[in-house]
Amino acid sequence: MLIIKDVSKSYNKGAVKAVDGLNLHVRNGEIFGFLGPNGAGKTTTIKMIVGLLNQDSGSITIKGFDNRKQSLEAKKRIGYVPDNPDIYDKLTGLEYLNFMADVYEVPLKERRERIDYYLDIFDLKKAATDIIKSYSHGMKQKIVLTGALVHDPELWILDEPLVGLDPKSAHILKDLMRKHCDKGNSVFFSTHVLEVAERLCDRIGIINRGKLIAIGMVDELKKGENAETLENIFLELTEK
Amino acid sequence: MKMLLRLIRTELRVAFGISVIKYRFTKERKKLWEPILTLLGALIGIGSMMILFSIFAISSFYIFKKSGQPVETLLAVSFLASQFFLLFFGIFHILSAFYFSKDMDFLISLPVKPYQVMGSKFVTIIVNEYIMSIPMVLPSVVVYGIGMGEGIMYWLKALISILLVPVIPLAISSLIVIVLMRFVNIKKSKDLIVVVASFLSMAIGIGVNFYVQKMMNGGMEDYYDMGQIQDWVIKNVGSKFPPSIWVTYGLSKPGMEGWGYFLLFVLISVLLFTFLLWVGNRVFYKGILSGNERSGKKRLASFETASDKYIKVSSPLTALFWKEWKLLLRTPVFMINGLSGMIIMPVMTLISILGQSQESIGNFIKVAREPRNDIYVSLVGFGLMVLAASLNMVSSTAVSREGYTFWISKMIPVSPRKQIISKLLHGMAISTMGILVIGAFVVGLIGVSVLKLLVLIFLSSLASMTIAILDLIIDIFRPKLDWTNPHEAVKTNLNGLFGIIVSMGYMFFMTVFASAMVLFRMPQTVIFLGIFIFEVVVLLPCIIVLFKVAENRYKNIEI
Repeated sequence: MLIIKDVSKSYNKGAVKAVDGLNLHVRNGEIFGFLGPNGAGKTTTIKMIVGLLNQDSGSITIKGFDNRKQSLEAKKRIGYVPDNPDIYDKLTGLEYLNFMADVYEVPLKERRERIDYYLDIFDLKKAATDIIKSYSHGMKQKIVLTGALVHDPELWILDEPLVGLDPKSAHILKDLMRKHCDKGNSVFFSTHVLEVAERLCDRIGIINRGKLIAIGMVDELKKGENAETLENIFLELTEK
Repeated sequence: MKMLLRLIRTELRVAFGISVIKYRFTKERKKLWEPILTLLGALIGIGSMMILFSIFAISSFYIFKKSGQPVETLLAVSFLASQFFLLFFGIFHILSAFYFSKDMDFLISLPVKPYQVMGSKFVTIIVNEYIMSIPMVLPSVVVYGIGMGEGIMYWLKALISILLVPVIPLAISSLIVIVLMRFVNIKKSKDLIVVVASFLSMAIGIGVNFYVQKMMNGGMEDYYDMGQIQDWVIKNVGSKFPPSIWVTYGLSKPGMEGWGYFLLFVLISVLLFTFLLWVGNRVFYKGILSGNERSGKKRLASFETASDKYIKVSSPLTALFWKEWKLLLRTPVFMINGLSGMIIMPVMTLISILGQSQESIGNFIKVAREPRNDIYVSLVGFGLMVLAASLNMVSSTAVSREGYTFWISKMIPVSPRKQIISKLLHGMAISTMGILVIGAFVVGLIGVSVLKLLVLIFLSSLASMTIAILDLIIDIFRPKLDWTNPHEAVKTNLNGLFGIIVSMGYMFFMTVFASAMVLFRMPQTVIFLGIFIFEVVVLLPCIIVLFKVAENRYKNIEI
């Protein structure tokens, strides 16, 4: 589904290596958790996958489409939720969703069904006709999520998707992620909540100072010394 | 006091991007050209204003000298004009800095006093307003000082006066605003307030223009009358706003009398600023917090009814085009900047016509309708149409206005070419409104034929397309995306200024070309055809460059 090959990204003329020779393969049907301390390179990686940042070297392919050379084809297959829900706050929720459905060219029947479904499960129907500016952080997060899923993308790229969500919405999202992957699609998401990663992810990758320092199933990673919990693994690997 | 100074330092850093420039200078030299270009643009803008006001100052000085009028009138007019300007237009900056900037929520939570927050914002506005006030005042002060052979004390007092010029008018505006905001639910009425304030300022500007026009036509035939008018302005307007008179006398009167006026001006400035901080400490936060309370606004409609209305299929281009419209019309600062050109330009034209006497209007129409003047009238009408079309910052801020939401434009599977076309169409739609308004004037006054009007509209639409493309190229090349307040995206965005400079350049070359054809006495049809060819020759490469730049920039702007 997603192949990241030797991807590097640096800032300040190479002085700061944000991502350093990253190699990753997210398979069909899996939830991949991307962990790392603050400033480790998680958001930079995600932004490179979705095309907001350009990698200095290496390649990223989504469903076989190179995200630089065949960017439009690659974008059609992604649903992206950023860590900060900055969207058109002068549009109403419904206008925003219809706009997203238009730019992703979603047929009328499907868009009606999906918008109705997501707004219903996220309890946003009542606020759908209000302008987004009046929404709380969590509501914005949910409307961005709905906008990202309205074209039913194969790959979900979610940057800290659970931040700001109430427990019920967080539960619904986790459920949606699982169901999405059960259909053979994939989810790539970053999180700081290790318990969530441990319970939800099929595989996880840990990044520190731009380098991928561990990758595998949680059980595999637990085989190391003092590695009874994911927290132990995380602390041990990132504090080296 | 220490805290106030710290806050002022931080506010100035944020407002003028000092930290960004420092960062670029030390760590990201590759992008250093951006602030340098910005600075250069600002210098060109300020420089041209300075030249304009210097010409006014020098000519007025000699006029007063020659006619035996008091020369200090020059100082009074400059101080009065700049303080009035600040009094009315400063309200915008105060409203947006005090109440609509996003950092207020964060600042309120800090353990600092309301007066410290307000004081830091106030000082930042003052520094910002120097960009307008110094070019208005400095030339007169320098011309007067040199002309009268003033000594060192004059220059010292002049320096302090120039620095203090914005304090009194902005303090008065601030007091009005913070007291008003204490009783108005700003979040609820925010958009309305901005629109009302904008149109009020526009009305005042137009009113002053009308008044001056009327007065000028009331017999300003020679230098002496001009002196009288200015004398009248000082006595009548100045008496209602005495600080300009104090500062004028402070600089021009000799000995103790001069020092007395000067100290009065300084003292009142300091007292008013202190009073503002005192009032601010009591009501400033209350005004902001009352606006944060949620209002029980009625929902527009039920989901079911709304979903039938809003969930419809459009092409990506159409969706992008309407999104541009909605965001422009629903953001007051954007709307005013986008549409005011269309209002101001025709109204100003109308005022300059109405400002004339009945007789001269009649003569003008008679001369304009003479067949031998047909081509001149058509070309002037065409010029006005193009000018009206270029008097908006819609295209030159089209990308900048997206701000932090630009990630959506980068994310969606719509080609940069299509996205930029939607912005071009939007910019042109607004320009076309300007063209049609002027077109209506031309028809109403001169009565040109429908066919000729259509030709003029067609030609000016082509020109406005080129101007919109040039504006878009400028904005996509260096968009200002990191703004927290919509005001910054248009008002403090130099792309608007660059856009005007480039548009003027384009119009200049077109005027030269058209004038040459007229001078060579070419037939009217050939002149129109020539203009058409000129427009197409410029337009085609511009389109190619726009698409190339858009493809490149949409890929390479990193957010």
